[in-house]
Amino acid sequence: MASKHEYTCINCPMSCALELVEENGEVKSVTGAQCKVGEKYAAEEFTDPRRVVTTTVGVRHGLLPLLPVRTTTAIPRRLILDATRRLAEVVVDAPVRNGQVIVPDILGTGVDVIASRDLDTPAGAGVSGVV
Amino acid sequence: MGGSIQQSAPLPESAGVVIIGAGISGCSIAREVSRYTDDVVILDKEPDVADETTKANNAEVHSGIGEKTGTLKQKLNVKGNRMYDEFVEGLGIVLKRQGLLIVITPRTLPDSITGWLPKRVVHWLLEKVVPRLVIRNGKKKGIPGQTILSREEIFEREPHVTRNAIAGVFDPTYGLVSPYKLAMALAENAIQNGAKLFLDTEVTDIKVEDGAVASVVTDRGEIRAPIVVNAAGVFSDKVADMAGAGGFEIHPRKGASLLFDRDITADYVHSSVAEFRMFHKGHSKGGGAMPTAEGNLQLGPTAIETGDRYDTSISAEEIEEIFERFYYLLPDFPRSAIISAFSGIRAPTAEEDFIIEASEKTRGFVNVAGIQSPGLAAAPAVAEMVIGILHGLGVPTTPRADFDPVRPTPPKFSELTEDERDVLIEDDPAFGHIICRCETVTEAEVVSAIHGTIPAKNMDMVKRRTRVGMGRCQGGFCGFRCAEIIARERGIPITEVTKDGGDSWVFAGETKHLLAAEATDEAEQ
Amino acid sequence: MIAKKKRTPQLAVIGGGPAGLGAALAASQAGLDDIVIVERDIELGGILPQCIHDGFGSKVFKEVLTGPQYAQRYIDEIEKTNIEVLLNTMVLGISPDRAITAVNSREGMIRIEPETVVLAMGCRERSRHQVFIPGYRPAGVITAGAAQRDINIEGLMPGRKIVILGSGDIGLIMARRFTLEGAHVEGVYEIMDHPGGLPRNIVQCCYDYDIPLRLSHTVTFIHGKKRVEGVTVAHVDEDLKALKDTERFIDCDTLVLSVGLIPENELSRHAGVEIDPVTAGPFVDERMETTVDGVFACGNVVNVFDLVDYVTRSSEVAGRGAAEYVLQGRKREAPVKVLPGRNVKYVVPQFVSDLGRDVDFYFRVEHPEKAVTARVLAGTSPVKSKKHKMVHPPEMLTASATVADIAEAAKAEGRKIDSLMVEVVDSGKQA
Repeated sequence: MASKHEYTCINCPMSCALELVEENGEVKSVTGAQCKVGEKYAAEEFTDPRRVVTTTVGVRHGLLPLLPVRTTTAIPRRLILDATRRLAEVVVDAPVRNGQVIVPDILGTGVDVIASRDLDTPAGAGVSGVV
Repeated sequence: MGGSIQQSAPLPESAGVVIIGAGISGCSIAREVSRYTDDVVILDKEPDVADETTKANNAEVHSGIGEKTGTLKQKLNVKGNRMYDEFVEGLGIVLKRQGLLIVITPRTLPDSITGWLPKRVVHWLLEKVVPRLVIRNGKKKGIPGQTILSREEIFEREPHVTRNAIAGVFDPTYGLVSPYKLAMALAENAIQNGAKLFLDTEVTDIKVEDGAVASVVTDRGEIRAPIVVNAAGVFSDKVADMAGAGGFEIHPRKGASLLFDRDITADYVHSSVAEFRMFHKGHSKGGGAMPTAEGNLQLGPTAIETGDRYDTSISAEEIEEIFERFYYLLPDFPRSAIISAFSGIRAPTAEEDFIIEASEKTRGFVNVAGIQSPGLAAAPAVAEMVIGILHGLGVPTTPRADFDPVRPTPPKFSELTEDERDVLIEDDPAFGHIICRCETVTEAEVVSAIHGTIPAKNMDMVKRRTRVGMGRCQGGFCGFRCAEIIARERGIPITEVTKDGGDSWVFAGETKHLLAAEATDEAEQ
Repeated sequence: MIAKKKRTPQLAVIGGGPAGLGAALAASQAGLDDIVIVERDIELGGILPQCIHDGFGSKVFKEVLTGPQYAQRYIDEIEKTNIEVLLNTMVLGISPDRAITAVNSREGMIRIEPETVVLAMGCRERSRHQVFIPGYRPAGVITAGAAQRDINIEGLMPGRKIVILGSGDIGLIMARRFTLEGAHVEGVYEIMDHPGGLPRNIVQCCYDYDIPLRLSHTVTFIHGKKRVEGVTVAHVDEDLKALKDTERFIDCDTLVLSVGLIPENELSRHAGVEIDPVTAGPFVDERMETTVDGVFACGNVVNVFDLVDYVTRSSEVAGRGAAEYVLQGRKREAPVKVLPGRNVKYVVPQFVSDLGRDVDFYFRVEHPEKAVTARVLAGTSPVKSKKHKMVHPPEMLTASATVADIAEAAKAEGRKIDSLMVEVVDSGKQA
């Protein structure tokens, strides 16, 4: 039994309205795309939509109380809320370096969660801290 | 020497005079009374002085021209206006006497008159007759210094006034003052001289014995007092009824005004400007375009009857009405320069006049009720009249030798020279930390307001004392910082900081708590 | 009279966000060695530290970074130079001869008299009264950027039940942010009939979380005397007037406003810089120099860019311009106007002082259009064109004209070029 799914492509301002036809989970066709990227996007959105997750974790002894973090690459969309819940429990100690791994292999996705910036203690702050 | 603002201290068992209501009337009376005795207690149910009608007052110290001859309010307005400079002396309050330009336009006379007259006659009436009527009316009411202006003279003074203007009358005694700053200054000076102020204290009953006032019952305790002054504004009828001294009803009437960006509208008008509409329906004087004491332009107010004594909502229609009314008078008005709107409830009686008298039904109870406009302008004269009544009730008639009329004011960074600022910063580095960029207010001033004579407990109280949040960004930049300082200085968690008391919390909690709460909910299921 | 040290750097940059950082670095690389950045916040980065989401840098770094990551790149570079950074320092005023008055807790009042200035103060958010929302004025009405700062920097939630007015990118981003922190976002309401933000944000921030995006709606009343208790929303007609019989009450405790950004030009006005009423920012030329000699401007203070990459590019032009001004001096020729043509709302720069340089243009269209060509005209001669499948107001466009392009046009017309224009025309109709 063939089913249709509609997506809005997010890759460029055209925002093509895409229609994907699948049968038993197998992608049969993608129409409405004006480029190859759109076709690929629709297929991925259907089979395994993925998103980069960004949030904050707590910091002790830092110039600021929170550290922004991000997944290095996209993780499955269905895991976003679980990932943020998991990260809501994380507290790290300053100083933290940009790119430092905060939580490796989040929820078994193989994707690390890393710090998005340097965050110093008030004493150690350089030009990115209090003068 | 030196009274106090009691946060959580118990009420005294008794007082010589209790004043109910810390609006402009109550505070004016309090200061006046404190010249003669320090045994005076002021009560208000709100978290701050001037926290209801007075804070939304639009700052006009009227000359008295707009009030009906023969009314008490008109008499007290003219007298009060004359007394104003002396009234604010020593308080550190700015009174701007920039005058009122009353503009006569084709709309001044109603259609019922102009509809059937030839155009030339209408024009002659408007140009020659109406201005003289206004002057004559003014003279009758005892208003000094009014002059007639020609069209050209109007445009020279106020280039933005509509070219439809035909003639004008300039009223030089009219002025502007910050109503809540004045009320606060009066209260602080009274406290400085021994008066006691209890905020967040609501009067629930008044006990009368043998036809005389015996005590005031509040939600925090009872005070025995032989003299009670009812200056409770919108609730003055309820308070009077508690003492069996009622017989009048307050008909709340709300009014909204709009405020504009100071940088864009600072010199738009030099004096207040209003359009004269004769025989116009309604109980308000029609408002005008006013350059406030702080330099922002203000348009308004409206006048709308309301049944709800706390209804300070502003409708889309009201905002449109204000623009429509003033668009005729000032056609190139920069509408997009709006930064804020505010609204308040007036407290008129059905008779539309002040009630200032010692009650005949309950001895010792003095009503100061129905104080709508010109309550601000009349304040000095109201206080004078009331102290006269109080002398008759037993308040000492000899002024105290130790009364200090000068209220010390904290330094205002935005008004100081560079060197003066340096001196302050060297002594207290918090003067070098700007919290509110738009109004140039420092952390030190915010801290000072929180620990002042009448301590600021919430964001709006800090705002009224320091102007933090009143500028073009309306608190966008400074809101968090202000809340943080309040929390720190008062030793409370930031989640307990409110905008203006009661349930007006600003932060729901810390960021992870909602998720943690959710997780706990799920775990418990 | 307290004797104070006066700073006299070659360049003072007002604002340490991406615009200020880019300008300072570019000026340093172009040969200035005495530069001061004045920043009012506790750290550099401007608005970026609170923009924890990704989407930044795809043009400049060919990577998709978060706001803090993007800022960190520039902060790392600054730390390698001798650029002086004054943090927690507020500029109070700047005179037309570029004398700057600032203040901080450590030094007190500070005087800086630089040879040139770069204005990089960014923008502020439009507040509720500037969009006339009737009702009460309770706690709980907050602009999206302020909410973002509360959540991402200070760790505080402005509320639990959220309604968002305005579908610009910041409103959409906050719909997701609130949701990820456990709040309930009832919906995003947009007065226009098209969304204000990018489609990728509508998908990632609304669709992903089943948050409805309702177009042609507005908030007509705010309920609650002390704290927001709810809002009334209504459908609007083509004139954007609310239709009373479509009003609906929504229970909520927070109204988040994402209703526009305004370049922050109070200091620019002090300095005597002429402000363009269409962009709300200074008139600038091809080197981002304003109408006041020696005063440059870049970033959102000039006009609201939507990509930080463009902010960076404009800041590098300004930084190089400032360096050139100090090291070589410059006499500006009679300005050549840059005009917005068909379906172009505005173009930056608004004038060109020296036709002997390449010019980068940033512009926005008035209304959405499909299958168009954006053209730069020198005089009446088209010098550059670029096809676009689709253009719409939220997405800023770029164009350029080189010295050679303009010289060729002058030759073709047989006279000096006295105006430039950027226009958007139907691709089919193009000659």
